[in-house]
Amino acid sequence: MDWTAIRLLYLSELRAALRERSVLINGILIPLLMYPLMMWVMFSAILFVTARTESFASRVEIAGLPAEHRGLLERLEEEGRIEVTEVDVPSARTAAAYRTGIEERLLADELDAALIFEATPDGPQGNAAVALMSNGSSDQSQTARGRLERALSAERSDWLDRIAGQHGLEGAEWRVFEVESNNLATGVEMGQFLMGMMIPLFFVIMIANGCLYPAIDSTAGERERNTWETTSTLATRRIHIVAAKYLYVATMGTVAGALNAAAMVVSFRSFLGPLLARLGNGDGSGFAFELPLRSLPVLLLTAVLLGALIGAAMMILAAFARTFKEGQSMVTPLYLLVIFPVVVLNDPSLEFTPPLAAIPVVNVVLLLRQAIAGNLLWLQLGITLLSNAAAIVGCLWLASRVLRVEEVATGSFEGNLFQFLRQRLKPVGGKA
Amino acid sequence: MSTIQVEVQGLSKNFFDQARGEVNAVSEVDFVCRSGEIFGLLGANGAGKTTTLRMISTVLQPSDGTARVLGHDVVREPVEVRRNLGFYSASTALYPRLTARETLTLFARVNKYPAESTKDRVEEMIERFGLSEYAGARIEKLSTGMKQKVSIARTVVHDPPVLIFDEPTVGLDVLNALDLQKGIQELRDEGKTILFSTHIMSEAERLCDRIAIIDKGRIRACDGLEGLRAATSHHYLEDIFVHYVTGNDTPA
Amino acid sequence: MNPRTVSALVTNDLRQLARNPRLLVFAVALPLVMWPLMWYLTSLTTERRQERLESRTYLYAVAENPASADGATWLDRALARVGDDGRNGDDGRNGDADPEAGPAVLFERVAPPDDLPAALDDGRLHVHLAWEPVTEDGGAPRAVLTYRADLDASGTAEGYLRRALRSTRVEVREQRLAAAGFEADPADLLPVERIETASEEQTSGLLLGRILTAIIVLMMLTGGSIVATDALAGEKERGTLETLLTTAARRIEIVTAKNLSILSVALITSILNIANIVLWMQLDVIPAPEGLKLVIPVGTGLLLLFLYAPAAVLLSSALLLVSGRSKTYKEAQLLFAPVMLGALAIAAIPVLPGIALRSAIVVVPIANLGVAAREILTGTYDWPLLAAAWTVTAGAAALLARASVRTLSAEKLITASDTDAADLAGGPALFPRRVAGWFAVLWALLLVWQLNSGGGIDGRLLITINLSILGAAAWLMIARYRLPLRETLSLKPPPAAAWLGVLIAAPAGLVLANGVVRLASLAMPIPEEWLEAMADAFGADLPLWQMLFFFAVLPGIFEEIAFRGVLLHGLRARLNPVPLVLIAGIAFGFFHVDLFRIPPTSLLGVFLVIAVLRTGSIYPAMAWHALHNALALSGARIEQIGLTEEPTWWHYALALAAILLAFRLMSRPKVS
Repeated sequence: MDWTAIRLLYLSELRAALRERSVLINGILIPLLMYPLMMWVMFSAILFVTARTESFASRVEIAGLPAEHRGLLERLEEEGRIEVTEVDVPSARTAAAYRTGIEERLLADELDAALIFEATPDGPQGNAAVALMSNGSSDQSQTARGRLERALSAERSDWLDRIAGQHGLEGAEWRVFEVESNNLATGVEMGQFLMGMMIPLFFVIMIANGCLYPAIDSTAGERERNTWETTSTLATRRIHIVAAKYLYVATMGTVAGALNAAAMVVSFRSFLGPLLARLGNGDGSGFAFELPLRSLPVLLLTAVLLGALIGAAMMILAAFARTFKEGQSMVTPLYLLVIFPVVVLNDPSLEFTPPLAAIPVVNVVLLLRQAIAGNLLWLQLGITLLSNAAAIVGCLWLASRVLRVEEVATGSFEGNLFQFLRQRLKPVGGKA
Repeated sequence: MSTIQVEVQGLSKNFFDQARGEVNAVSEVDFVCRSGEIFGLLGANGAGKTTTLRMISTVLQPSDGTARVLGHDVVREPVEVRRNLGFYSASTALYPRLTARETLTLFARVNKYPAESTKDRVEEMIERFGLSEYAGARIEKLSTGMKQKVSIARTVVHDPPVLIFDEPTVGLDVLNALDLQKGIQELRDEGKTILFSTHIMSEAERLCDRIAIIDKGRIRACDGLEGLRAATSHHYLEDIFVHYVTGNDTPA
Repeated sequence: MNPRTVSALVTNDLRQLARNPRLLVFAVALPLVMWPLMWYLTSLTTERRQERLESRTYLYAVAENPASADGATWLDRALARVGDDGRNGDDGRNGDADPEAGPAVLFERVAPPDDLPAALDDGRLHVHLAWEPVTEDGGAPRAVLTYRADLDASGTAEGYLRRALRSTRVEVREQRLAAAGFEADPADLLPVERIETASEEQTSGLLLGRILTAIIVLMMLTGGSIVATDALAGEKERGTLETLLTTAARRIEIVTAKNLSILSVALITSILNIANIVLWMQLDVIPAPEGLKLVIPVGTGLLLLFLYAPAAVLLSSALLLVSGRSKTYKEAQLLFAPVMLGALAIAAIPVLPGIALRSAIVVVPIANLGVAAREILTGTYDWPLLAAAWTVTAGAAALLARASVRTLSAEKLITASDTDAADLAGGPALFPRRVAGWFAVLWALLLVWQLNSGGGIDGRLLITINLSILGAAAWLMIARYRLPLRETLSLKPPPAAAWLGVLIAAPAGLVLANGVVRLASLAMPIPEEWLEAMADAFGADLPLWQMLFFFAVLPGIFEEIAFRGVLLHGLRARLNPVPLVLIAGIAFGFFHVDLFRIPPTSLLGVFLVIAVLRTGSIYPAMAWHALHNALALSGARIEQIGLTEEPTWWHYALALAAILLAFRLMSRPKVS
């Protein structure tokens, strides 16, 4: 191997890449900025929506509220901005007309919700059948309904307590027992759980993204620009040129992955953290987003592995393209293929078993998830390394076979990898 | 009697270029072309030939001056101008996925050739340029020579009285180039007005009835070959060209 | 425009597309497979997870010193019902569970570990229960469940057990209540019947209306972008665009044809995609979202189609513009991503709760149609505003289409360099081309800020921030383009008579603004709350001097610098007087974001622009602006806006005459 030549070519590829807008954007800018930006948008949108919903003034009409349940009004006040109009209970004769009237007002958006109490003979004094009327096609009405439901349910449980008291049930005898939850996971562990669910997925996508442009640009793009022939005439073996290009593609993928992981952690801290704190229902376990130190080597290792694997696979496919556009369409299916398992793996109950560790890409996602949670499963790590390495070697072997064919190397082969395999490898496979 | 078909007066074009600042690509160019003649613009690369022709074809807007094609002003009536014009250059490509016949039909229709006779005209063109064999094949499958024939057919399909050929022979081999030149002469003989630009002396010498030598955006001389010879007392166009461009004579 | 030419061009585009198998695969076939497959896989994953959670055995342990003798009994009862409640609710009321059937989830008891955290950590135990003794007087024993929320099995086990214990508790209570002599069934207390007044279509319409626009925009863009990249950028790259430009086709015909091609392909792919997904839903392969009823009446459907038409044209024009601006196919592709994201963000606005068409949203293209569609689907037809929304989006589409015509101007195309005189010279010469962009961004910023800061913020703070954003932007533009300060801001002494003009004009302008408000309210009545909110926003409870300072003096200075200074200066170079006055004035109105304030402030903007143009100085406009605001505010304070006694037509006529007189007074002395 002529390492000097490879190094020179590699560096020149990298330099050219850093001057190419599309490579820069896909390999560096998007991994760095996209997720923070997305999270910021999500964060603002959620804050905006909650603030807006909270700010809705609910116009509510309550008919025939029994004296026993005046407490409901106080509860409603606690629920937020609410404007209650109280009316007397409609008589049996006008009840139907009253409901129709309410219905019309709800639909005309003059009212957000209504509660109609109708005394029933069943149950203790003050019991009533409650009709909760709302308009499901209006956001304000749905908010009002939620507020009424919560207030009603609180009033109901309060009433039950009062009834129990009247029947001499008090203290421990009525409360029976309390249920308390004690979450031993620390904020950091909770944060690691969330990060473990999300970072590996985006990590894989971003590495694929990072490889995509360089892989096409350094093969099909070269042909389109007619620089391929210039490069081919260099005084070094073709395999060295390809090696340099491959290293460059793998580097771009790795860099994209690493940058993206860093950007994700940062955006988790600055957006998801505050958001969860704000939306948190006060169970006290604040999330803290910190990557365990021991996961960093795994992260780097997997970035390199994935960059090398995806880069190799993409380059083989793109090697058959003669224009950038053609290259794109040849590589895109692989890109999707990489993303699909990632979607399927979005399941925290999936255990990282040794057999799963034998599937490339999938194993990386699961391995990283464990690593981010602070677990290093050595057996699975070993299998993952082996299986990905095997896949890389397989790709490189295929690449060397493909490039040995003159037509492909000069770009005169018409067709894609599969047509090539059908044509060329069959007799070889037959012999073996 | 030949009539004036193209009339150019004081035509100028200023570009702004990041590196050079304001560039006068074409300054105050005047000439006329009559029907049945081949008028050649002869100049080095970057002399302003293409810019001038593009202004006449309304693709570029003149910064100053006027140009008229059959009396239509290029600024005020660009559509009328283009309708009476066929523009051919090495950079006007064809749609690769259309067949030759479809291409001709498209350009006849877009150039507003009468609808009822479009079909006949297209077949006539196919016949005339010898495209019948591959009129149904996609252009991407054709060889360079065939493509070029289709391109010329495309240029004249709407039967324009004025034709512009902007460095048409660039990138062609000798036989194809000669073929093209022959085609241009035939068109001239049919009475078309032809504006032709080139930087190849022999081409200009053979084809052009009148030659304008253009340099740095200005016309240095404009006359028939004999007139130029008489004015400069040089015989070869190459020497005449050098005479006008450099201002001093090199030994013949 | 010649239909024959356009149709020839469209046919040409579509024919080429049909002959491009690769493109077809990507534009049509791949999404057809991708979308349902993604959807299917996602729902499959969720289902599988649910199954896995239900089928596994959870390990629990109980601390050995039961503090409550009943604890063991309660736990047994809870374990007998664990999992019955599925994932619904926490109140433990579940009538359907069959106690005989045994627990739905398997719980297995293990010995309590020595080291609880370690056992939880390595999965030897999922949840640990300890009965804490009664600590206070009258208190009850507590069941403490210890678990790890970050471990899936542990978190799930805790959830199951907690819910089972809670419903056991409810049951025990009911039994004790019955034993104490309470006869009624506690379930009969205050029974709630939920009555839904909206029809099923309307309820489902809200759901559909929230996402419909985003889906349509997404489909249009994914389908359209594939044609669009090829349309101008691709043709440029192949050199066919130049051929096309030398034909007798007009630029507008070319752009129309390209737009039609994009639209038809986008339409076809959208229809195919939607039909495809609906088909898979009908076949029950992928689950339909809950509560979504996919039946739209024909009339509504047609109305929606008509409504979305300008949005579709807007999108395709935007794609075409991007394509026209790019020199290569690759560059166009790169530029599509931001267009896509931006359009989706706008199209997602109907998701936000409670946004009504009768608000500032009506001036935001696409978003307004999205909100309109949502209202239509929920059965609200606000015709004047529907028309307004449609017109706004159609207008924006026309503007974009014009801009894409301009990309065909061959200078850029052929000189292959984007830079022209102004770009090269930079500085002041460039500014007139950029000013519209600057103010568009500024407007978007202020819009976002206003939408987010509604209510709860001190009016003083609000206006100060608004004005500092304007001031900072003005300063940035002056600095960035090295604009000459005196000329830009018209810092010249006005003719003396102009001051008299201001004194006459300010009250007259206020009267006319009131007239415009009344005119506008014919189309869009101003809600009562809005007037109240307005009064609050303008600090009705502030001391007079503060109110005047914050809402009259400060705007008079900063808004004038931004609008009658920088904006006017930028627009002046490119517009004739009449459009200049109208555009600069109405732009000012739009910066007041609030729908009901746009008409009167636009009128004021127009007057102020005229004042600056006539006097050649910004000072009278500043004085007028401040005086106008001061009068409006003190008027409001004295009699809560003079709506009690409406001016009559002759008031308006008088005011108009006064304004005209004022403009006469303001005329600059002729320079000899």
